[in-house]
Parts: sequence; structure tokens; C-alpha cells
Amino acid sequence: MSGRAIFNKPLTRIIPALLVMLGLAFILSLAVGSSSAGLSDLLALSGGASSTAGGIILELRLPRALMALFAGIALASGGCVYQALLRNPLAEPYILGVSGGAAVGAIFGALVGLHSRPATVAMSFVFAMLAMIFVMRVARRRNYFLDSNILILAGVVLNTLFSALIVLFLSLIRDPQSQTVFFWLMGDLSSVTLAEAMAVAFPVLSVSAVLCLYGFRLNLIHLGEDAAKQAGITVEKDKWILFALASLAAALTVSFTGIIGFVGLLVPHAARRLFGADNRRLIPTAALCGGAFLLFCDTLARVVASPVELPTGVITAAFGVPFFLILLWRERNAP
Amino acid sequence: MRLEARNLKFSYGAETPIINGVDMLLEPGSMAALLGPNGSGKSTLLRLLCGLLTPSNGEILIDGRNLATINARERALCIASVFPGIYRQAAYTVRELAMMGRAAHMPFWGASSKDDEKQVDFALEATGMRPLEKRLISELSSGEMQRAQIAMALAQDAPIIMLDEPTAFLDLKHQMEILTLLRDLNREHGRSILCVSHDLNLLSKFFKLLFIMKSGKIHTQGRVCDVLTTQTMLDVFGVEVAIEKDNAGLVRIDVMVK
Amino acid sequence: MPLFLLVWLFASAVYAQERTVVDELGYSFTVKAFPKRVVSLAPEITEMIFAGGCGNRLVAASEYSDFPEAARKLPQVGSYARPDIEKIASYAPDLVIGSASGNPERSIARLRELGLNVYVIFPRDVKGALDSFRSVSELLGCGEHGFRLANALDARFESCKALPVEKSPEAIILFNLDPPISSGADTLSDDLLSWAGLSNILHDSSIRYPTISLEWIVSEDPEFIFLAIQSGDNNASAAFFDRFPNMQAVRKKQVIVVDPDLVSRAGPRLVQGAIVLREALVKARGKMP
Repeated sequence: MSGRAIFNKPLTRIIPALLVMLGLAFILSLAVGSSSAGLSDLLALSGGASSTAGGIILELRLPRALMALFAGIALASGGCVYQALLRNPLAEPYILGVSGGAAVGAIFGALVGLHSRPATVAMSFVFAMLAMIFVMRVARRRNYFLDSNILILAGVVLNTLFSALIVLFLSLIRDPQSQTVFFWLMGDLSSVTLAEAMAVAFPVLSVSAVLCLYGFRLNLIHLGEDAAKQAGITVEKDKWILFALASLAAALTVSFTGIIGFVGLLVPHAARRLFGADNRRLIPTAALCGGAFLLFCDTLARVVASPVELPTGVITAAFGVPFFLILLWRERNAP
Repeated sequence: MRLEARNLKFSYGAETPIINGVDMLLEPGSMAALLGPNGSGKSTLLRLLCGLLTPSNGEILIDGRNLATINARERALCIASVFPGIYRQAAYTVRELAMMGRAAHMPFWGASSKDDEKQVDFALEATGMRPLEKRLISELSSGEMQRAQIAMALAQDAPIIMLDEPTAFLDLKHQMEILTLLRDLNREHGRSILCVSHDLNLLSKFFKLLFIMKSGKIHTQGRVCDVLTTQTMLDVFGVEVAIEKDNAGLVRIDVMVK
Repeated sequence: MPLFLLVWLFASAVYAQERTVVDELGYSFTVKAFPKRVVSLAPEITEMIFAGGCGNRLVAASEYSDFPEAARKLPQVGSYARPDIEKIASYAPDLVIGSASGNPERSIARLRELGLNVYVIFPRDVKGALDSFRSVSELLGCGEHGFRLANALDARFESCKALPVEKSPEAIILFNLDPPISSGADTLSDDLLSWAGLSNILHDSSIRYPTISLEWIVSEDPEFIFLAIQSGDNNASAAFFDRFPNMQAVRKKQVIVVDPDLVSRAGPRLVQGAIVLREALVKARGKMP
């Protein structure tokens, strides 16, 4: 995590540029799809016309775009927080067992006959939160001190257990049901409704805003917990709040979208190289980049093999990895 | 700012207490060092005094106020401390590091004011780190890193600065640099310095006050020339030394090798 | 010609105690003339056996062998995708009948390694299903009942096709809604649609059971949408497309729920499936001049 930022401009110039990029990604997401509904139809919508194409955009593309935006923001900002708190470049919001828990919840729900969407979402969220609470409880030491190493260890171990459970449940599940669940496991934004996207909006945006405010304190905690404590930061309280909020946002979005990997891991790294490691800058920029990235990946997922639709998680991996390797390659001559 | 510890006790668990009844007094403007054999509890005492650990017994008073009743921010305005264990790979510049020392003066989200900038300028100049302020901390030498951390503590603008072995792993030149800096901070900027160290010879030349610890208690405390005696060295360290005092009152310690 | 075949079959059935057979994948082995203990590895095979009149020969069948009613009483030996090898072997069957489109090759191989006779069918389309039906009946020596039925079904299929239809209206069959899963080229349901006089909008898809985007279905706007959902609430399914009132199928009330077993099982009930699909078309045409 060393090195200089590529764009050292002040936030007041970067944020508007990122917002424009985000806006373009959003419009692209609405204007492009596996049908011929396009930009002109999008514009016609604002005129109040009701048509099949308009219906496609409003009913199908808009909820997806919104959820991609919110999930990207939640995952990327959460990723920054995790990487700073745990001082681990491989950390991301799923690491505390949130993704495994959500998957187990969804599949277990399908196994016991809960197929409806609200039931799946609820089971996912509950299991994800239970996993997080368990991991944090295990890592809690005397005086509410949170041991970061134990946190990672417990999270990884729990995720391993969950993976085994997922395989077990999948083998028990009746063939027809496994389709939906299997697709969800790889990140599926196709089932999102407008109501769901709106429900997620406020929690995700407010959590991300709070995480942005914690940027400076996060810098200090990242530097050293003793150094932060002696400088006047309430380190333990801050850690609890930060872990809880970041995991909450991740658990919320994963319940609706399934497991979309790489966003929480790679976007913070990319943003760090582009804009610097100061979390006051990093968290907001990473959040916006995350939203744009996921929007873009989702658009690709819908379009690249049309009419076949790929799970979004496949695209974030296929796209994210080479992109990140290029960033690393650029640094090969740096000290 | 006056720092006082009364009957301080501390243990990590149900084991034997590491700090077993410490009484000490640090007057404003002191230039003090904390010595003792390994395992005597020096680092632990320092952590207790600056509020990183909570004592199991006894109290710490700052100008008469109990440290336990002061919140983190206020405490940071009273005591700044420098410990090893900074995450060196963090991608912050020297200036950003120093600015972090201003945390207790800044709002929650860390926006710096002109005053903060001035204080950081001052801290960087006093520690001689101004030319290096744009350098990343991962690119600093050990001596520079130490000075950067002291700059951070200085920027914090607390009357008392505590340091845990600031000269460890440094070569002689850098040790001299740090100790000179600390002495200047004490003489010219009026800070109280409490420093844990091993280096008896250098210490005796820079510090006025010594606290010598043994087995969790303060064995001896007082002025350097009074406290550094062959008997004390034998009692505390179990080593025979020869002590020489010159006219300027500076003490030299020679280890007797048989 | 069919008569001659029948006579020849009776003769061989009566006089031969063992014969060599070759299954639809080209594997040959010898088997008893009238296998008494048969295990079916797929629901459609179970249906074929019962339809042929030899249901009493079955000692066990795979899960979901739920038609006819009598089949439900049979002990289950694992699923289509994972036959329970041990259990099958424990029944000491004279003959096991499996399907290449569902049972894994490894399971078939394993059963053969254990010394069991496994006959594998591979019906790729409607005609293929009928041929498999005939083969299975002949294999079991069920008598002419199976053949007669197969021929009758064949005739009905042909009559389906014979009905005049101008341009085939577009249709799609969905096996899952969330995400939408349909069938492309080289599938049973694709073939069924063309037999019923309909054109599968995914006919050119190289993926046999693709997961497609809802948006594409909406924009392709097929005249008929058949929902053959294998789990879940059918009433909820029917209302799935209501939020796109501009779609043809929604306007003309041609979003039709069908029993998935009728359109995806390569058994004798495929005819019913074709009829259901055909009836939808006829009813729709009947409304218009």
C-alpha cells in the first residue's frame, strides 16, 4: 500500500469528475440491454410515453441499475474500511463471514421450502448478520478490545465452513430449485425490484456517508492503534462502529444481489493508487468508483452474451482482475 | 502540568502484577528517564501513565485530576506519547503523520485549520523534518522515522511527552540527534519529557531526573548525580560498575569486566 | 410391415431365452428375454414402461417417477442426476434402463462394472422419444400393447402437423422465472413447439437450456409464453408478465401455465404436451377470423 497517487488533485475537483463518470455509467446501464430499447426510448420516457421499451427500462433496467449503484458503493467503501482496519490488502467486507452466511441463509431457505424472494432475502440477511456477530464476539477480548488477527482468522474459518455447508446443501437440494440459488451464488441482479432498490438506498447511502466522515480517524487507526489512542481517538469504540457498519451495508446488499466478488477487494486498491491512501479522500472516491464499476459490469453481464444473461459476479471477476493486474504492472519499476 | 502516580498496580490477568505499587511524581518541565532491567515493567508503566492501559489499582493524577475521568481527547491534550509499532508501510507523508498528531485539536472528520498547519510547521522544523515533509514514511530511515514520530507528538501540543525507547536500534549519531532534540524540547519549548531507555551513559548526559525500576516498583528516583551510584547499579542490575563524576556534574559509567 | 415386425417379435420373444441387444448409444450386451426385475433411472422411462403395460416388472425407479399413480409406490433409487448405485445393485435387477440425457455416464459405467445390464436410451426429439418407447417395450417383451400405443401416438403427432398453419407464431417455454431459463436448439421442448405448429424464439440458441434476460423476452414479444415451472406457485407464475401489459402474450391472455412434465419428459405423455400447446394455438386462431 505504498506509492504516490496518480491523481493528486484536490477532492473538490475529483468528486465532480467521478460523479459525471457515475452518471454516465448509470445512463449507459439504462440505455443498453439485450433488447433494442435504447437511448431514444429512455428520453421518450421522460415525456411520459408508455411503451414496451419504456416498460423494459423502468421495470427491468432501472431497479438493477440502482441496486448496482448502491451495492457498488457499499462494497467499495466497506472494502476501504476493512483494508485500513485490518492492515491487510486482501481484506474486504465479505471476510468476516458475511458472504458465506448470506449464501448459507439463502440456500438453507430454499432447502426448507422458502422460495419466495422476500423469504430468501430475509434468510440471507439474518444469517449474514449472525455470522458477523459471531465473529466479532469471538474476537472480543477483555475490555471490549477487538483483536484484528482473531477477527480475520475467525472470519476465514467461518467462510470455509460455510463453503462446505453450501456444497452440502446444494447436493441435497432438488434439481429445479438449484437453478435460482446457483445463479444467485454468483451474483445476480436480475431479481431486483424497484421497491428493493429503494429500501436499500437510505441505509447504504447513510452508512457510506458515515464511513466517509470516519476517514481521518481511520487513517490514525491504520497507522497504529497505540498512536491513535494516544492522539485522542477512541480506537476500540471506533473499530466496533466501523466493522459493524461496513458489514451491515455488505450484508444488506448481498442479501439482494447474491455474492458479487472483487468489488470490495479491488476497487479500494485501484482507488488508492489513483487518488491516494488518505481515507478522507479514499472512501468517497472508492465509493463512487465502486458504483460505476458495478454498473458497468452489470451492463456487460446483460449484453455480452445476449440473450443469455451472465451472473454479474462472473463479470466483476473477469473484468476486475486484468484491470488490477494492469495497475500493478504500471508500478513494476517503482521502488 | 504535573503528573503524579499513587500506589499504581497493574497485571494483565490473574498473574503476578507487573506494576506492584508505583509512586512517582513528574513536575512540569522535567527531563526524566525511566530505567530498569528487562521485565521490570518500564513499558507497562509508561503505557499506564499515558492512559493506554487502565490500572487495576491506584490512580494517576494530572494537575490533581484523575486520569481515568478524563476523556481521550482531553487526555491527548495533556500527554503525547511515542511508541514503536507504527505501521511503516502506510502510505502517508511525514507531514500527514505530523498532522495526525493534531487529532485532538481538529473536528471529527479531520479538517485542518490554519492554526493546525502552523503547529505542524513548527513541529516539523523543531525536529528538522521540514525538508522531508513530503517523503513517505515508508521511505524514511530509522532515525528519520523516530524524528517524524516525535514531530507528531510535538504537533499534538501536549505539555508532557513520553517516549518508549526512542533510541533503540539507532546508531550513535542518530541517538545523539534524538536525545539532543528531546533536550531542546525540554529547555526551549518547556515540555516535560519522560523517556524509557537502556542507554545509561548517554542518559546520564541528557537527563536530569531518573526513575529506576525494579520488579514493578520504583527502586530509586531522584537527580542523576544522586541516583547513579555503584550500589544502585549492583542492586538493580546486578552489575558492578565504576562511576566517575566530572566537574560539570556529568556522570560516566564504566562496566567492570573481569 | 408393422405386422410382420410384430409376428417376428412374438416369435423371438417366445423362443429365445436370451438375446443380444444394442442400446441407443451402441453398447451391446445379452439380456433375458423377459426381464422380470427392472429398474428405471428416469421418470420418463418409468412412464414408458407403465404405458407399455409392463409396470409390474419394475422393482425400483428414480425419484420423481410420479406418473402413473402406481409408480409412486415404487422404492426410489436416487435421482436422475445421481442414481444410488448401491441401492440399485441391492435389488439385483435383470435390467436397468437409463437415459443419456440425464444420468451421468459414470453412474452407467459403474453399474456395468458391477455386472448389471444397463440399457441406455437417448431420445433427442419427439420422434426419438417414440422410438425409445418402442425400444423399451420391445426390450421388456411387453407385447404389442406398447407398439400399438406408440403407433397411435405417432399418428396423433402426424395429425398435429397436418393441421394447416400459415406462419408459425412465435412462442417460448420457460422452465424457471427467476432467472428465466428456457430451451434452445436440440431440446425436446424446442421440437415439441415445432410439432405443435409454433416457432421457438430461442430455436437458434446453441446453448440447450440458456439462462436469458427477461428484457430480451419482453422485447422479442412472443405470441405465446408457456410457463413450465417445476417448483413454486403456479398462480404467481401466471401473473409474472402482468407488469408488461404491452406484450402480445399478455394482452391476448396467451401466458399459459403447463405441466412441466408434459413438455420436458421424453415419455408417452409428450403427445399431451403437444396437444396442450397445439390447443393454445388453435384457440387463439379460433378467436380471430
